[in-house]
Amino acid sequence: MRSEIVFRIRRQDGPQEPSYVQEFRLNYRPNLNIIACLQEIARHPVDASGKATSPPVWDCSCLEEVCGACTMLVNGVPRQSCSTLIDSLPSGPIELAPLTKFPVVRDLMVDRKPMFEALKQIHGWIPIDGTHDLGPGPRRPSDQARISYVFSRCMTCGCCMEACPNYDGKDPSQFIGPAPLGQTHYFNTNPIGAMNAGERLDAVMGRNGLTGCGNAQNCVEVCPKEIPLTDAIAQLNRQANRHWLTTLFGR
Amino acid sequence: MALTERQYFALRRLHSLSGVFPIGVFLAEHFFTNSFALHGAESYNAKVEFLTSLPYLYLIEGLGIFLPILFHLVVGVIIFREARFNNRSLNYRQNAMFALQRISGVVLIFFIAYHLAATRFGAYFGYDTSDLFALMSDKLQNPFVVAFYVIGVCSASYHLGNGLWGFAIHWGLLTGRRAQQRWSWAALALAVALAVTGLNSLLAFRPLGLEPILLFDKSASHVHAVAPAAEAGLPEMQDAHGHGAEGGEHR
Ligand code: HEM
Ligand code: SF4
Ligand code: SF4
Ligand code: FES
Repeated sequence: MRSEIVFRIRRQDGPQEPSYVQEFRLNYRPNLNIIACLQEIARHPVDASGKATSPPVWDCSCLEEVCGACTMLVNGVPRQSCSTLIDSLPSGPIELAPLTKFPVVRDLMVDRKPMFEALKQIHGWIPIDGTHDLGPGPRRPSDQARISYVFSRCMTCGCCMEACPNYDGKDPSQFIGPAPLGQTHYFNTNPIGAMNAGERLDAVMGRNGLTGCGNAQNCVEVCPKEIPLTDAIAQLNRQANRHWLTTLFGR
Repeated sequence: MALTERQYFALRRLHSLSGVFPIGVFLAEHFFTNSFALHGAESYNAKVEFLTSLPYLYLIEGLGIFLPILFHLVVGVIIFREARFNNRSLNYRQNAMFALQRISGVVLIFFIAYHLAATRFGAYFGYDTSDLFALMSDKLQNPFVVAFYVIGVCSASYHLGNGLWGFAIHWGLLTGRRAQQRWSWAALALAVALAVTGLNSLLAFRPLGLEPILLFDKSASHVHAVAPAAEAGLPEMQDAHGHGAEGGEHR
């Protein structure tokens, strides 16, 4: 049992500033999550040596693991700081750090915009607006809808991107990463979304697409929403290969 | 490089294909042919002679083996450089296999280079390649060479075994997580079988005076008409191990 909680927080004063680690100590109370601790530290921003400092900066919104904003590295593993309970962590010091594959805004806050750009690349929406009513959409079997629902839970938190050894983050011409591939599969298996399936498949058959995945399967291990990303990637591989082989010599 | 998006896709799929066909098929054939060494120098050298007497030899070797390996190797190094290993913080089985796939590939660069220089192109390096069995068993009296061969054989076996796992996903043959996990164990079992076959054929050259295991052989009586180590020009070792050796039934 811990009597106090020790945090080692990797901080950074601005996007271009060097990073440094600061230690903070709190009295132990049961049932704390990491955000609650960060709030307490921010109220009394004094580090472990007794020196007054600036309050650490982090991002959060929903506080119930549905928005993804509070994602950070907890002891080196990407996860949501709102749903990570102190009591579930081993008793040593707790290391907090910003995600490494997204640009740091300040301290623990990163800019996950590359994931938004990736969703634009894969056509991550269903175009239904037009000049006239198209009538009701097709019905779908409930087992398909169930699988689809799982993919719909993606909150672009970036855990899978952070964990993927082939996702670089800095260079968008490299691998696009697991989350957008999961969403490609999601929109392509929707009966209305399927009308643009070819477009989305094309979008992930380029240099930064599917071929960048090396099957480390870290993405499924860390996804807090248990999205079967590797199933999606393999399904897309199957479709992409068929598309490639059947158009090998032109159409 | 001025590859179009689609050409890059093709490049990566050809890399995947080349690992299995022809390189993987060749590796399996190579380990099997080497197993003829279990039947002694004469049997082994006869096989080597048969292979070197094949019509269109240079074409088969060049287009069927050397060029694919060179291609797979160059693209493999590019893929290797894309990875940012994170095995320490994300200690998952598949992540370890991912790293090992890349590391074994790099080990193979050095091993294949050495192996080719010492055997197929040995003549250019001043070795007598007319009696490959003698050349091999002579080299394998050096413990460092033995260690290097053991590492090389194990690397190649793992790389092909686990490679078949990645192949199944890259080609969309297995899309479900459970199926992928089952195939992963099967692929590892295949790697072990390959490694045992490869290592046993190493033993056939009597490295450091060790003996191979003769399993599932039709009969042992015809096997060593001449004491193998004597053929290899190592009479003392033969004396030390020929008598009273276990498994005397194959003498
Ligand atoms: C004995 C020689 C070799 C054999 C039999 C072999 C076989 C294979 C196979 C079957 C795959 C799986 C393909 C896939 O993932 O779809 C593979 C992947 C790979 N090989 Fe090799 N390979 C050999 C040598 C090499 C060498 C010398 C390198 C150099 C670094 C290398 C690097 C790689 C890499 C990085 C991958 C992973 C590709 C990916 O995940 O996309 N291989 N190899
Ligand atoms: S399976 Fe592919 S996408 Fe998922 S972590 Fe591994 S390399 Fe990245
Ligand atoms: S797939 Fe999972 S880990 Fe990846 S961004 Fe979506 S919710 Fe997060
Ligand atoms: S604050 Fe929304 S997921 Fe943690």
